[in-house]
Amino acid sequence: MRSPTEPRWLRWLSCIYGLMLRAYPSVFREEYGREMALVFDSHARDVMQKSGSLALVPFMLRIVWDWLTTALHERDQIETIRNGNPPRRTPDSAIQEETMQARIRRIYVLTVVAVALFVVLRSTVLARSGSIPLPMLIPIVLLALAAIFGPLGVRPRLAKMRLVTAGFLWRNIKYAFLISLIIAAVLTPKGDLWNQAVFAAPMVGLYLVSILIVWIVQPKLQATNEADR
Amino acid sequence: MTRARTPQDLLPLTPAVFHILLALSEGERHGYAIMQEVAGDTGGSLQLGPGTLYGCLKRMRSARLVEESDERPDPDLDDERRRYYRITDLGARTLRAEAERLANAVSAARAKRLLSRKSIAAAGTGR
Repeated sequence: MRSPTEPRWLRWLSCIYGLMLRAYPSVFREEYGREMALVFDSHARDVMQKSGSLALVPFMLRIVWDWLTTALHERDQIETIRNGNPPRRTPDSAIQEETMQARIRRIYVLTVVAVALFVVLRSTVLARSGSIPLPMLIPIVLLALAAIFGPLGVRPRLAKMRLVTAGFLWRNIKYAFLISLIIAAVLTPKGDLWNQAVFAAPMVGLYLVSILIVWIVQPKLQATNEADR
Repeated sequence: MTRARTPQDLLPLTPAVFHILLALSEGERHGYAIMQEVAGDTGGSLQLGPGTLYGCLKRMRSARLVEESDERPDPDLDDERRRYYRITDLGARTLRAEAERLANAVSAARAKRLLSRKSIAAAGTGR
């Protein structure tokens, strides 16, 4: 039971966790959401009583990691069932858990690589176009990251959902090229061709990589669909 | 007709599932008690978050390794909103099979001199 003398911000953390629970599929949330909130409250209170308020920082970092991996995992499970595939039989498939962890780790690694790439690009762009104020540069870099690396993960997922095929992506490459140039034109601080090419080239390159990924995963998906039938 | 599931069908278990079953082997527990027990058993090296814990419990329930308990071990001392879980017969047999599998793996590692005397002694004393 929550005590009225409990620090206000401990209640705020509970509220935040309550909001985080919304990321789980509704079926899972209805079954376990209330208990998860209870566990969170008890744990947060214990951590604070044993180790002080500062210990709540690493505690919350662990909670966010746990939330991120498990919410994605539960959503993935629901999607698997919706796509007509049978749910996994093992109680907690080690393979699937590792795949999810590996996927998230890959995103982190990709982000670090992307940041490194953009540090290099930034210095190249700056050398060509003069100084850009930092508050302007941060959203540009973030948008560019999303524009370049986002679709790489999105397209194979669309293929999994049977919305796109490698052939479809290949046929529409001219539109992808045009869209990449438009995005590059919007994102680049200066409108010259060099700057646009610096942003557009990785987008087009990764579009080609995503076609390759879709082309690789496509036969497996078809085989799975045929086996299901 | 579907064949009844055996513990061997469910092996190997993930560390989280193994330790949850281990925590429940001594009696019924609610979620937070399981978390504390697992952290204690592993010396804090395995700390389950609420998402991992209930995700595992969901899958373990569907695999009939654990079930929800109707009884409340200590209703006076406990929050009535909490749900208790207990290990099933299949869960107990699976836990034993996994423990044997791990023991065999440790024996093999010991035979190949991968474990130092210090680590064997520490494992023996539960440290």
